[in-house]
Amino acid sequence: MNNKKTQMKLATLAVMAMLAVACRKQPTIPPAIVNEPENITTVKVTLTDSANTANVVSAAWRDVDGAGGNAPTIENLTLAPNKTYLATITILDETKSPVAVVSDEVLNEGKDHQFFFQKTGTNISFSYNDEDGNGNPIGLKSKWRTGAVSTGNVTVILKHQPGVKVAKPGDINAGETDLEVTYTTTIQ
Amino acid sequence: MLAAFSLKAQTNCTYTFKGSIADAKTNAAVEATIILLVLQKNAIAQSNGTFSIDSICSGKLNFFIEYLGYEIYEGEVEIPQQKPLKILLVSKTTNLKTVVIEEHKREEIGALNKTTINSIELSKVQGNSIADVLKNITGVNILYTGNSIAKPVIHGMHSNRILMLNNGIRQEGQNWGSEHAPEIDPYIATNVSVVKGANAVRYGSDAIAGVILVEPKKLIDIKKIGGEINVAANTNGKGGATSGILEFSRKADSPLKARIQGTLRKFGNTNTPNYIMNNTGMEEKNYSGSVGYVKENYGAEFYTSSFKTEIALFRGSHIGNLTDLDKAFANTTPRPEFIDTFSYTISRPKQLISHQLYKFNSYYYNQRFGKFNFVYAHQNNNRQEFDAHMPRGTYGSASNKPELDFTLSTQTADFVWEHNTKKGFSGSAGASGMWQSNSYMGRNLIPNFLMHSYGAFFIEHYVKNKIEFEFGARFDARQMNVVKRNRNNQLYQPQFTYKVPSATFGVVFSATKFILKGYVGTAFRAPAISELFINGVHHGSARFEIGDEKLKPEKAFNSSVNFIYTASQKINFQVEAYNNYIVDYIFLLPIKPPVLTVLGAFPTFAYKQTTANLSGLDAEINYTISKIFALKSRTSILFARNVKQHNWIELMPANSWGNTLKITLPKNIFAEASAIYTARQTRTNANVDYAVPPADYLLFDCNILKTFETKKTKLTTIIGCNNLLNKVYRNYMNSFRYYADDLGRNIYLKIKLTF
Repeated sequence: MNNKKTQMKLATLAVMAMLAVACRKQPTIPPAIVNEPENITTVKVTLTDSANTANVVSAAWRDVDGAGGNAPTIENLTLAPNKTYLATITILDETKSPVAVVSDEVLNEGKDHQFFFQKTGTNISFSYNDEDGNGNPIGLKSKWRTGAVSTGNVTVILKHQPGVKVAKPGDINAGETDLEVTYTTTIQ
Repeated sequence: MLAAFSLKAQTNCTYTFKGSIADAKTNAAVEATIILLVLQKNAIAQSNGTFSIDSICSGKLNFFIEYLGYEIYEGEVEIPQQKPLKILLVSKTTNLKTVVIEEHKREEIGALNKTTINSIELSKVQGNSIADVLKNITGVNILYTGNSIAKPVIHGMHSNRILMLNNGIRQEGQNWGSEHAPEIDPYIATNVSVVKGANAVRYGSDAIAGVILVEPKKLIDIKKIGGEINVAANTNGKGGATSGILEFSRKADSPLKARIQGTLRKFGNTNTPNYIMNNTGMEEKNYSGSVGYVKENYGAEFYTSSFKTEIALFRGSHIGNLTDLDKAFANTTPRPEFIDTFSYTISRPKQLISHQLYKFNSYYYNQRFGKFNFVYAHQNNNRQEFDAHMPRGTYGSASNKPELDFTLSTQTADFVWEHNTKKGFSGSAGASGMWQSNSYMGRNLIPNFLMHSYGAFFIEHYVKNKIEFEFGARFDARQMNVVKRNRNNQLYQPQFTYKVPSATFGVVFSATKFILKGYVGTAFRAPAISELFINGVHHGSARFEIGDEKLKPEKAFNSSVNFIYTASQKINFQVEAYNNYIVDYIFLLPIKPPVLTVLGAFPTFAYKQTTANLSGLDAEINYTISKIFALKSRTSILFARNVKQHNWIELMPANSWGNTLKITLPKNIFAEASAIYTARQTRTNANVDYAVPPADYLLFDCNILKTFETKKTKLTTIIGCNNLLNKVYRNYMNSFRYYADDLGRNIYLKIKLTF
């Protein structure tokens, strides 16, 4: 009967399939590719005394190995009382070569981003010093007006608000947080 | 039929009605449905044609057997049976009728605690996700991420602790994540079953909680050119599914058979009782095909399936940091920009997943040596996750790239030998191998790896009169080579080796008043890649998670007792008590200080090991009130303890109590009304979760089913409603409970045409 033949054929096919599996070359380990999207490693605040442009104060918040691992290094801000500072925020990815300037992208997407400034214990008032295409503030440039001698914190928050950014002064509750860093600040 | 009712109340109702069904002409097994109309019971014969229905009273029992293309078989049997019935179904073209008596058939090997969803129940839930299909099984819960990502939970465990077999193949996706749903199309299945308990011996490692089997109709059972068309429509999400199956067999006895199948699912934004949740739609496209040369004694088959889905994630659930999360809790309704716009558009954040399976299997049966089975399969799984925010820099600006992109490629080979039944002994032995590689693009979450696993097992089953014994053992070895870059960008290539034995022992005792099943099993699970290496913020949960390379495999020691008792003709109940003792159970322990990142401080959790004890009770009572009304009540209770730390294991399903009133009306109309109560989960630890577990809730569901039959076709129509009262609630097992209410009322229509 034809059956015997077919049976043999099938058995051979099965054995061949088994051998193909057993003898097939092991694939080499796939290489680890470094192709990560940009991260924010560094947030630098630079403050220039509006009355004396030679007087520049800056502080950097830096976590070059990314979230986790080594703790971030955070520089302190020391400001003089009763002065107006012109503030600039620079955001970098220092793991990239050359270093990627993330704040340029924030500026390009100004209509979808806004910075917010918060303080605890320090006598500072903040105002915006830049605008997006719709005439609303971004906050990459701002003015910090210091008051009396005090010690506390300043927190810089960047919100990503695609489609939900509102007219000034803006809404800190809209969108999601892109960064939130805190600097120990002394006014003396 | 009335005769069964006129029996005295004290008749013994602990018997089992057993038999097998085959084609009268070809003697091939038929997976027909056995209907006991008076008892409101039905069952489907296994693929080998056997069936077994518990809790039957002594006396005369009337039954029907139906299967498409065959004459309906109407029979009567005297219970207790002397021997299992062998029923031969006559194809509609001929008209023979015979009842032949055959020898005793055993329980299915290695699956003493198996629950199968019957075809009627299956048609009510097909069109939902595979996990939703399983939720009517006592002891099974669902872990949700929103409404379109659902994972089954068996006795409190999910993800890597459950093994899913898709058409006999271990489903290998990135199943370590709670928001990674199984990539399986429920419309493929004619049989969906759950085997609860540690089942490593028969099914392989990782099955420490249980096994889920999704099985299409066997090719050999295709007898003609036929098929199935399914349509499901839902009001919530204004979407649904459509699916079709076409089967080919020139003649009933022609060995060359084929089948093709395809499914489309699409939903728009879904709504809670009070608002629409934006960006919660989904789209799914699946197909499968099978061709085989199958004979009773030998055969070979090729099967392929493709699953592709795009799932939108509710924008309000994608938070940047802890402050955002706290604000989301504080709002009773999500922010206005996240709600009240209906659309089918899927935008960021979203997931794009595809899964391909290629399978070849062949079998050979020899009268002297038994049956040999060989299966080889190749699977390719790709998972892409898109954050709310487009990636920055050159990586993202070029295209709309995903932040996470994993490709998992798996090959498996299994060889199983089943020896012939001899003097009550039956059994099988086998060996299996698995080769797997993972590669990623985008954000560093889990590293690349290459894994080999090898296993060998045997299992023996012995039947003597009223007692059945089963014993099995297995040994598995696994090696995993990992390649990753350290924080200082240096190549790091650790190697992991796991060698673990497992065993199982089961007894079934069928006494005159009851059936008692006892089962003891062990299983192990090697740590998942995420548990070893994750180091970062888990999006959506605002947690910083830290993996541990030194984690050892989990070892589970599972015991369960199943007691089936028929109190009278009208009342029967089933209680399952189980205890799962797990050594080196892997869990997330909150640690201090929190990790400080550019997004602020995150609560930090590290993967640690402890001894866990998961114990619980699943109970079910059936009460037949009259010929028309019947009640079914189910209760599930679970205690999950961290034995070493003397506290609770988090995120376990709360106690639940479900009641269903079943109404059988004339003219093939069946209606059901259910009330399901879910308690508040109180077994949690203080200060671990961000929000207290949500309040208890009571949900009402209902449905009505009618079948229309002609000589060649069968039409099943179902109209139903979930959350009938549009109750506002939040489910502890849904990770979106932090951000939004659960789904509101949904009215659905399902139509199944079989031809």
